[in-house]
Amino acid sequence: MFKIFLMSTTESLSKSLDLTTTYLPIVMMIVVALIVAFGMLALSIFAGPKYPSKAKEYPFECGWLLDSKDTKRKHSIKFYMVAIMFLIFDLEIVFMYPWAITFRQIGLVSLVEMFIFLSILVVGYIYVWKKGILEWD
Amino acid sequence: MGVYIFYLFGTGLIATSIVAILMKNPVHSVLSVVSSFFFLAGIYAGLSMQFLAVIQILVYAGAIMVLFIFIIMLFDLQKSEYSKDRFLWRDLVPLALILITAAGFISAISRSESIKNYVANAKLPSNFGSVSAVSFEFFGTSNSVGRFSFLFEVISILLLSAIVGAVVLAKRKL
Repeated sequence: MFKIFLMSTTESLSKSLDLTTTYLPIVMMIVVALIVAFGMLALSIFAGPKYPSKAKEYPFECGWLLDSKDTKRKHSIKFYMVAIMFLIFDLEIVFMYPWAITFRQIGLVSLVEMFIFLSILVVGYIYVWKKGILEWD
Repeated sequence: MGVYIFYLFGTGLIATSIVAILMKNPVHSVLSVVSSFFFLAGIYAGLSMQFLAVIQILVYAGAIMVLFIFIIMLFDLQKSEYSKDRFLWRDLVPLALILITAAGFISAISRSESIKNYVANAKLPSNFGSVSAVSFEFFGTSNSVGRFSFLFEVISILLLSAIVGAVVLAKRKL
């Protein structure tokens, strides 16, 4: 029963777009990317020459103390603030993708709508700036 | 075809979500959640919601998971602090209740005549789910305001309150 329901739902939804042809390029890209990534790893494992020595097996670290045990240092809350601010303005940009694509077709109406949207968010930007979140003191 | 895609991605989604709950190491959990987001994007794509699928990967797997990892780093958990919860038989009680409720919902939905009629007659516009279709809903056409234009403006207020909330929570001295 449920299976029939599911089938009719997904079939009718996907009828307008033929799934196999629409997404075939994306699937091919994913497959090629996987083949390249894992193929290179496999090639270097199976075909590469191996001359292990003690120096080579030593962990390589750059800009960090060797032998440091806790790799998970406590991080400053400022990283979190930067991440949150990035996330919020990232979401703001997400809405500009469709806007930019259809801007020529819609015209002035969408320009005004986007200006209202951005002006409300600029208030937040000014607030963040004035509170000194953007400075690393 | 579509139903097999749904089963494939749905199984992956449930499996990765369960793994995310069962992992002791929070970083492993987060990685599992990332893969569950990819499966969810696959389901969106299978439902012809291409824009949503891309945004799912871009924003959720990209940005929000970075934030999750940041929070795990902020907590600075040591291995000794990982959850030591064991499986208990009494844990099965809420699980059984959830399953019974879900089964009830599913059987009710699949028996409903009105939903069945709606599904049988459902016809999507040819550009459904594309970026331009989403845009027309938000911004309207050249001579009318879109269906969700007002809601779109409200989103900016939501984001504004998120900014203020984050600053108030994290800043020591306001």
